[in-house]
Amino acid sequence: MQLSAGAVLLALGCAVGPVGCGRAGLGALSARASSEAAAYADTDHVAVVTPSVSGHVENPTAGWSVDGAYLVDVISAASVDIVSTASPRWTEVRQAGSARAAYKPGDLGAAAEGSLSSEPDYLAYAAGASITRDLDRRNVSLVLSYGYGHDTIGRAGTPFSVYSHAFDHHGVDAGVTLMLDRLTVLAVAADVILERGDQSKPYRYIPVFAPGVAPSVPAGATLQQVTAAQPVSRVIERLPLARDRFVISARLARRLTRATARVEGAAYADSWDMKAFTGDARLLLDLDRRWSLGAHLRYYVQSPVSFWRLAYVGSPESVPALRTGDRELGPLMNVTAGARVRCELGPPSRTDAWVLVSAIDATYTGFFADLYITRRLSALAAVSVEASW
Amino acid sequence: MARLRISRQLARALAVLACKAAGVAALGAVAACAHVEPYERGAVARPDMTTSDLTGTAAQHATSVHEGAARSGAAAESGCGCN
Repeated sequence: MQLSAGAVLLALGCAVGPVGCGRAGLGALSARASSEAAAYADTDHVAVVTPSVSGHVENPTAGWSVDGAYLVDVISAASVDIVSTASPRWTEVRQAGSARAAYKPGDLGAAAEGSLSSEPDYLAYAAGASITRDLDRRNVSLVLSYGYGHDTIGRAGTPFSVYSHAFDHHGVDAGVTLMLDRLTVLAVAADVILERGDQSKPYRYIPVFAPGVAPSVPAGATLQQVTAAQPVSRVIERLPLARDRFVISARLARRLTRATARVEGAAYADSWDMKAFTGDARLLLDLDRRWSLGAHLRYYVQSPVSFWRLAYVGSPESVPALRTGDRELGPLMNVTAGARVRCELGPPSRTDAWVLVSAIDATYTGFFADLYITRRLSALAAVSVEASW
Repeated sequence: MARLRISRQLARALAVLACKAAGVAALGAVAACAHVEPYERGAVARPDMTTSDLTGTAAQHATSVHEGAARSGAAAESGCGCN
């Protein structure tokens, strides 16, 4: 955390005092600082408040840039997952920081980045590097990146040295950006992520039902219904120790007369047999020189992992070797609709020196085969301010 | 239960159809690629034409919590309201 926070402070220090940096003889230096405040709430009794700050300093002439970001998540939850284990509402704080440095003096560039996330029962750090290469007078850009992460999962109130387990993840990303014409840009990428280690959560207990009872347990059952079905045991979550994930994604942006249209799609598959598809569309309309209005629509659907069961079957002596209560590993779909307003507040000579963005998204989630929940409605509102020099 | 099955089948059919459409569109776009000179790039230099994600920090966090395919690591675990 200290390393990332230091980098963030360095970046923000330059961001708030770019004139001073310029006086030091660094040439055409530009900087940007932004702050976002967001609030999330859903019908599963989860609320999250997230303030964050970020900074960016670059010298376009020399080709280098430095970025830093820091955020705090304050989470309050009394979701059905928590209530079903007879736990009271809890509140938790997560802090996360990241830093990135890039150097691209010509057609060839490189970047390195690192991040750290800390909460009482979860510690994660990651580092990565990438290289970029422009071809055909920057009509085509290639990027290849590698990232490594190490996550430690523990229990709140118990030191990691007493109880914890870990998993590592390696990611390789290859992408190409094509300028299709003077108004259209297309980016296509392929990602491979290899996860190794135990990702099971130590709080998550899964009810196991007798063979004759399990088929009659309905989706979205109440706690009383589950109790009445008399689970033969409640066992801790157990996930496979390896997961290989593959993603292919594409993003198309086209400038129209007074608007920008963006369409994105991604197809996903992994070795746990989950398959997923994402479609995302945005239209950003220019109302005048300072104001723009955006509309957002997103669709997501996934199939369950191979060991997903609405109600696991077993006996006190024999339980399924793999089991999970993570509803985001089951079959589900999300539909998100949102709107965004952007206003440039700077002086007439440079209106984008100060930018205010306000966005709201509402998401409906349908869980097709979950023990405790069948649907969720959530809303996310965010306001951000960005200043640039 | 039958309604659930129909919803899942419909979702799968839509996903397959959308994947195929995206593939055809991408191939068509690459085939239609034209050379753009530096002085013609005013429109694509706009911030909203970036190929990076336009969503803010909190929206990315919400996505990583809500979508199993995006779910990995600390950001997804924090704020999911799950045990």
